[in-house]
Amino acid sequence: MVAVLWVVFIPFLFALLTPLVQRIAGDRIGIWGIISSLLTFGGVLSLANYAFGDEPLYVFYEWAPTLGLSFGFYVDGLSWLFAFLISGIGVLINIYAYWYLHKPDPFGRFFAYLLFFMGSMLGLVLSSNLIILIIFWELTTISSFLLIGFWHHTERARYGAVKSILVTSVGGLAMIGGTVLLTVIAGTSEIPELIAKAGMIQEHALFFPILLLILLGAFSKSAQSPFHIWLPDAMEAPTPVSAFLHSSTMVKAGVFLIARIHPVFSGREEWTLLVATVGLITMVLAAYYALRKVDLKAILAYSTVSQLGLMIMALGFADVLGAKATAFHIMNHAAFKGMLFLVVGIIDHETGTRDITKLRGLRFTMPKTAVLAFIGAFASAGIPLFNGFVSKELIFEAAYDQIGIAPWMSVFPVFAVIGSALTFAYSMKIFFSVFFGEESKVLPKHPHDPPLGMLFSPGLLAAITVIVGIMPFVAENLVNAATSAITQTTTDFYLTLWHGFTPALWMSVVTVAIGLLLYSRKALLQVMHSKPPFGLTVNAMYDWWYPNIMVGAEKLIGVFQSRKLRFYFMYILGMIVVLCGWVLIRDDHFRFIPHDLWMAETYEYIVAVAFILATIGVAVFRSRLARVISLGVVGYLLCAIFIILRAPDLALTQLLVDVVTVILFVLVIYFLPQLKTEKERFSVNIRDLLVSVITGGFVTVFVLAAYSHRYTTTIAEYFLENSYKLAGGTNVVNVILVDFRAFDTLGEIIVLAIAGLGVYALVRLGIRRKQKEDSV
Amino acid sequence: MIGLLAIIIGVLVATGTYLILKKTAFKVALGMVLYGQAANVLIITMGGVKTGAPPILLGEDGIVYTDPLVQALILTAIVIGFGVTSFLLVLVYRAYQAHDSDNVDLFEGADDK
Repeated sequence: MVAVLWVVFIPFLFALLTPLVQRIAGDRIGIWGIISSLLTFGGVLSLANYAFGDEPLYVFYEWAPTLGLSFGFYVDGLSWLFAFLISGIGVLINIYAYWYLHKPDPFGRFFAYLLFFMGSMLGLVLSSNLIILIIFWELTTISSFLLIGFWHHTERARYGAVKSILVTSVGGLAMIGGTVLLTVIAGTSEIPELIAKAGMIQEHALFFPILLLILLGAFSKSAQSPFHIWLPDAMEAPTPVSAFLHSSTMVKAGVFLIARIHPVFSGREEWTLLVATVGLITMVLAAYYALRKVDLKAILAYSTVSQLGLMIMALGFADVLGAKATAFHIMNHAAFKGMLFLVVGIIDHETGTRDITKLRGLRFTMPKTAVLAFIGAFASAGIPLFNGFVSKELIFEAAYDQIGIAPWMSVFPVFAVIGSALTFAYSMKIFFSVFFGEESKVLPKHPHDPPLGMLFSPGLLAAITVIVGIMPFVAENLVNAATSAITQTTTDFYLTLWHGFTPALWMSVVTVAIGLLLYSRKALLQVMHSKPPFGLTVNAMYDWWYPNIMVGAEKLIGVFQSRKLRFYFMYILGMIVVLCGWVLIRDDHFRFIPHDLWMAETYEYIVAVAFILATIGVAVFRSRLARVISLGVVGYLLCAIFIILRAPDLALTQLLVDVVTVILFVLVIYFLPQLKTEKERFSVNIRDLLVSVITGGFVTVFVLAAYSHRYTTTIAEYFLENSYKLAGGTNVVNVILVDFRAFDTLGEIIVLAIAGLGVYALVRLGIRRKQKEDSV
Repeated sequence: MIGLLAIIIGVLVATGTYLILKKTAFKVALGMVLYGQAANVLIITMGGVKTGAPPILLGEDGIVYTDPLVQALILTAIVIGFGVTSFLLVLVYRAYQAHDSDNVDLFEGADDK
């Protein structure tokens, strides 16, 4: 139980402490990152028994019970698999980054961001509550934004970072909507409880909108078409970041979410239709783009998109085999793609370029790197004896099984083969064009193998790739645990290299055959120069949309944030009039009209007319003194009104205050010179007048409506009854002030004292300034 | 009577609004005072208009008094309103010293000298 908290919060804690530690550690701050990730990884390992045992770990702490919100963690096979990958690859990335970063880069910031990201990712996969999951989800968005824009001095990095945060937050917003709907209809946001209520949720009328909204979040995070546009631009990040975010963590969050909600949503046709189809389209399109690219990282970016599509497609098949194939491929892809990214990082680091038209014949100068690249590329291509083959074979099998469900579903095996053939072709391109051929003479640096520290991480991943490729059964337990969690059934599979002459094997053979054809020089050239379909249009749309939305937002802000108090005041008044007025009309508060509305004594009419004239006088007189005198008259007439309304104390107080107020105003007139008043335009005056009349009219109506509606009895009786009995006073108003509500009066006195001090301080300040200026 | 009071409140609010919308800080201060008075009249009407004798106990049974609670509230409000007005006026004065103007639009963002 403590271990879960440890796993999630150690990275955050270490990230927070990084600036302090850097003062001591200096450039060796990378060791701090390595220690932190090792501690986290150890914590994850200690949780293993929950993944492989019968019972998952489910802890939660009440957070806001009235909202049904708790802060909980859930460790089962699926979440453990992800936590294992995140923390394990996190260790390797930290080690690699220690050697990768160059001097002018701010090391401390890099490792702090990296740990921040790692903690967010772990929180995401381990949380038991969808709302908490979303919070961590957005934290990964923020931290990946910081990491992608790490080299923010370059234009491209800033562009990529903004693009990634915008595209993924659009999906994130949709996901929040879906989650709220889901929480409302199911009455809970705890994932285990949602799984238990799957039947009810699938029957609900809102099933499809909820599914669509949540999937939008998952698709945008996992860069599924048409949201894939952010991922290639995110390659501006330092390569260790790309390797971490885009092989095993950030982009897999979407896959994780789909796997997590699989037991809740799968089983209805909409699931397969949405999930598998989007995965399929993305897989084929992205593989095609990957083949067109010449930048190694861009190839890997599209390759990642394509592989994610493959996994999501398999998850869309609502059967156990699809889930199993996905779980296995998640692991394998993390290993070989992580390694390929790191290898590309080495090539970039040692040769100064990632352009495959410049890179040639590196096998002579970088033999060790060549071996690693060979393993990665062949695993990615799906060649036997490498891990990619085994899991891809499983996906083929699952796709082939779909034909039995509906005839149209035969598109899945067909396009799975086409996509994989494209994958085969670009994987071969990565390896052969970079490491074979004549040695290149145009490289910016003289290439050589990197230091051991940079080889360690990809080397370890390469070893795993080969071991799992030859002996897939080593991963059996983990795959079974994850599959059980995804499908909510106990599964007991055996993973073997050789399945016999199954349809899947023939699909692999066809894949390699088409792949070889595609890789032939002529075909490759044709692909490179063909006109791409809609994918680039999405980018163009984004590029059109982004600057326009910025300009539009600025205009909109200009309207509301005019930086002039008067306008803010008008908006407030407008909202009051519109909203309260709407309620008055809606509830028909106009049926009041007390019969004695206009019944009043003659002297009361005289007072009222005088009052109105004096009030208007405050606004219309030209001279300031006349305005103040008019204000004084208003005050005196207010006294009269208080007397009419049987409030002698108020009349007395008002009289005193009015005298002092008038004196104050006159003093200000004395000290303030008659400044040249800026003439307001006529239209402005009319506008102000209109606003004032509407507001005043509204208040009048409001007073009448409020006066004629009494919903509760007054508590005044209590004071009238007890004033003499309890406090021994006959003036009830005074008794209330000094006895019943004495604390309020104390507060009033304090406010008055503060105002007095403020006045004194401001006046003194002015005088001292003046003296200083005079003496200078 | 309530009709007259409602109109009085409306006129106070309308005039106050008109003054607060002006550029001159002095007029804004005047408007604020009117707003305070409008609020006070509004509160007292909510306690009922001329529904009984002033709330000063006479020691006899059967006398109906007006609501003392709203009066206590307003008494506080009058005093606080005075405090706010005086503070506002000094601010107007200080703002003029600092900016050589009493145009509220110019107050924003200017450095303190």
